[in-house]
Amino acid sequence: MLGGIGAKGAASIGVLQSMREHKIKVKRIVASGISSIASAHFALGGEPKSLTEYFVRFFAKYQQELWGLAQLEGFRARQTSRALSNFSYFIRGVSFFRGNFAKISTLSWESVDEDLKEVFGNAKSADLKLPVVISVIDLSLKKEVLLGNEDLVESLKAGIAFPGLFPPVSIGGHDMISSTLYCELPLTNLKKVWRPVVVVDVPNLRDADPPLSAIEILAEIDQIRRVAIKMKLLGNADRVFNLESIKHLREDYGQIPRLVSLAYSNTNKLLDSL
Amino acid sequence: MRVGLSLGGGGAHGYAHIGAIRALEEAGIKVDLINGTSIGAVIGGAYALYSDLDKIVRLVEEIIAAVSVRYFNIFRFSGQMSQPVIRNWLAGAVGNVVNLRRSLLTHRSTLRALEMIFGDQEFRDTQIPFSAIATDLVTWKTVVIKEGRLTDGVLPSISIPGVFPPVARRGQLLVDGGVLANVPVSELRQEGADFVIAIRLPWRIEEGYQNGFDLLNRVELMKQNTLEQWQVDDADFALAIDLPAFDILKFDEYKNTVALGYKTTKKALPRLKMRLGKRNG
Repeated sequence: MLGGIGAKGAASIGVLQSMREHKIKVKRIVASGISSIASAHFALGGEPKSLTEYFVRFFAKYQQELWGLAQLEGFRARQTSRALSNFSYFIRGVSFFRGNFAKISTLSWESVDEDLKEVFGNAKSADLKLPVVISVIDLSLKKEVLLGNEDLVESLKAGIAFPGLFPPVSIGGHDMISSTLYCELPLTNLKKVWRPVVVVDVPNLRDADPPLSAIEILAEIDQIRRVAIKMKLLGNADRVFNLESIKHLREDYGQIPRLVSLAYSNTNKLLDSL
Repeated sequence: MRVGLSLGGGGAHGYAHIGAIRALEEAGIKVDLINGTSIGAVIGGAYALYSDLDKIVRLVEEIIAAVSVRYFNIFRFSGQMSQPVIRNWLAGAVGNVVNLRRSLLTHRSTLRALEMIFGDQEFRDTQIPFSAIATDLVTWKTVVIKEGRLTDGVLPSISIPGVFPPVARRGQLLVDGGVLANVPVSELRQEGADFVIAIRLPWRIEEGYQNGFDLLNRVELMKQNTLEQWQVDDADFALAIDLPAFDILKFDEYKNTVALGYKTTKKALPRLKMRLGKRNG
């Protein structure tokens, strides 16, 4: 099971690369957020590490666009720093509060569609060599659900449809958004037959400075609840791999290669110790 | 056996707690300790102090007359404003405020209301042991407050994040306990309750959405409901007072809310008595 929020989800590349090299037999991947893209690519037979450069470009494009908006809003050093270490704040502070407050989202799917086509072409869920289940929130059912057999690219988009950043994705007449702001690991709907479940977790880090503005406070509460839910649900996993080495890294596209390589060596160590 | 009463948060729906306690009193169910979050802390604290529901209703009426409680309606603009230009301008203004300030409102009116209820009384003055629940933004943990002035202890518990400023207290930065413990059942067990009656005021997730803010709020509400459900599952008896027709932000419409709290609790009394009887052997 793979999760991780924002750019940290790219650490999945390192984890999958290490698992492939260790010839670990994976029966199914349950993923959420960015890690669902890495998981689907892996399940199609792709070499995980070949995605690193792609993710850098992917994040650079959107982060630069959002930073442009942030500059227009006159972000100060403190806000910039907080946004880079705290995805909840990034979403609220940079992308849509103030000028974009009344919009459904700051970014559109147009350019993401092209980006996903570059990796997945016309691939379908049936083409995956091992099942990938993507966790999302179904806005009609008001709960976390799993997508498996639906349109692959649409499911991947739903997985990264972070509220405020991207519009919800309609699948089967239901609007779906990313589940990572609910719980960064897709632990809610685990099925007994999937056991044993190995969860790869990135431990959460608190900001050293206490929150000052109302937006910082709301973002902090988002995190506090998300971590409380994750910590309780982690009890359902058979084994938890902690990627301690990447918890200090920031949500910055420039950090992705380092993120991947640290996650890779961290997973190597964990697998060697088994 | 010590019976504890855990009163949940839920804005103006909290008046339902008054009706619920009245039904428990009439049934002769004695409460040995109380805790509460947010409005649950206000009503719970007042009952623990006075054990007099008529007095609490009088206080509510006095507060509504003296303190402007209608200002909460500022949050209703998104659904009611028909002119997009004004709506967007207002949204932008709110956006500016939340980026620069700690909160939209100050504690002025809230403190006045709390002082009208509690005066200078302290936690140790209550007739029934009572604690108020808040969340610490520094440690990310739930905090149980049971010492000092009641006004000072209840204030953090009702400091709704973004609406009211956090309360700095002994190195902590405290906000509404509803962040993690909207119905603080396990906290009441730790205080020594053997049988916990939890009263929950469910907050329904609305249909439809208009903007990214709605979507983020929806996810927050889902998280709050999940955490609340886990706590309520731990109670010996849980009661949900569903108030779909009442606006959670309208603090001046209390009579119907009290009546519904009473009616719902009264209906649940046979089950509660059976459960209590079983536990008593």
